[in-house]
Amino acid sequence: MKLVDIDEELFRRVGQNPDMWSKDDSGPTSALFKDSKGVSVNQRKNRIEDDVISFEEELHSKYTGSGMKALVSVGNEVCTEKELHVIEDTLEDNDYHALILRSNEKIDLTSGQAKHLAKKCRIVKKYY
Amino acid sequence: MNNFNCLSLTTSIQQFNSGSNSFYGTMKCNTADDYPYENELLRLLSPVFSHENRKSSQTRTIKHGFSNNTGVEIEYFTKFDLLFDNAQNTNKLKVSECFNKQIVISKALLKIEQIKSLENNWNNNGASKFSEKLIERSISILNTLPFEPDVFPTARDSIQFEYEKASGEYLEFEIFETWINVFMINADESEDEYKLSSNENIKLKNLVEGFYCEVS
Repeated sequence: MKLVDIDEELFRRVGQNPDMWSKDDSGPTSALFKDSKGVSVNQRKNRIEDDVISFEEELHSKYTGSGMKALVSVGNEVCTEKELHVIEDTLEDNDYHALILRSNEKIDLTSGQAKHLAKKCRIVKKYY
Repeated sequence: MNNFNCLSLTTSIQQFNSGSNSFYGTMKCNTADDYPYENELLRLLSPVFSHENRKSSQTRTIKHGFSNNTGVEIEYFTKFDLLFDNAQNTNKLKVSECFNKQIVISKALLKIEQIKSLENNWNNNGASKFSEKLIERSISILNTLPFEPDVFPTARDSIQFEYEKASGEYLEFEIFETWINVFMINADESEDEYKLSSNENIKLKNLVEGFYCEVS
């Protein structure tokens, strides 16, 4: 289990259905970061932002039938503030893939950890 | 396809005044925002007030699609005329006036209905479809809360209710089948997180009331 570099930026797509966006349009709900399989993200890995956006849009259209609501990102240092573990998890078609985990022993984030990510994440692009 | 284009409706006639040809009651239904409530009201009440079963108190329930009777409340006070139907030899209701109508649409309930319709792998990462028990549990809790939360699904078999103030204070109920996780961010930015058993609706209600209570 290889940990992701501390200065890495992590991107997560937000779909349109179900709606996972806050009512006041400030960003995603913390529920977006609650997954029993770990929070699936993609690392920047020195790519320019336009390349990251194109890559995420391509992945989204490949795996889903509905459009994207937004693309958000969070720095690994934000994860570290809450003692989260971010591990490399490369896939057959995705060398950038990583997982955010509660710790080195548990997968599910606490509500406090998930809320922290939701508050600190940057909105990279909106699609509405 | 619009999953909300269906109706569950309960009418309860609380007062009936044959002298002035008027009645007063409440109607509760789940429906889409643009559902023609008034037409549905007339359609439902006509048989209730037909000649052979007209009474001072009547309850009639019609359900299509939804299983609960919350979501939209309509208060009404209606005047009507009874007209004799020669073909069927019965009196029929003709509503001549309808007023004092109040409509409150539960966005939270509609969101739960949307969550209910999600299939397996709804997040494209293997998340499960939501169980009927969890949906019912969430609706039951929603019905006890004094203010509507924002509602979201999670990919760990739970449904999340959220309240948030501009000040940053935050209250969250993450509802699982058999327990509830409560998480709060307080005014001083401290955090609390603890579990409740699934039958502690009153505690949840009190937490929401406390969250919105102004302390001088």
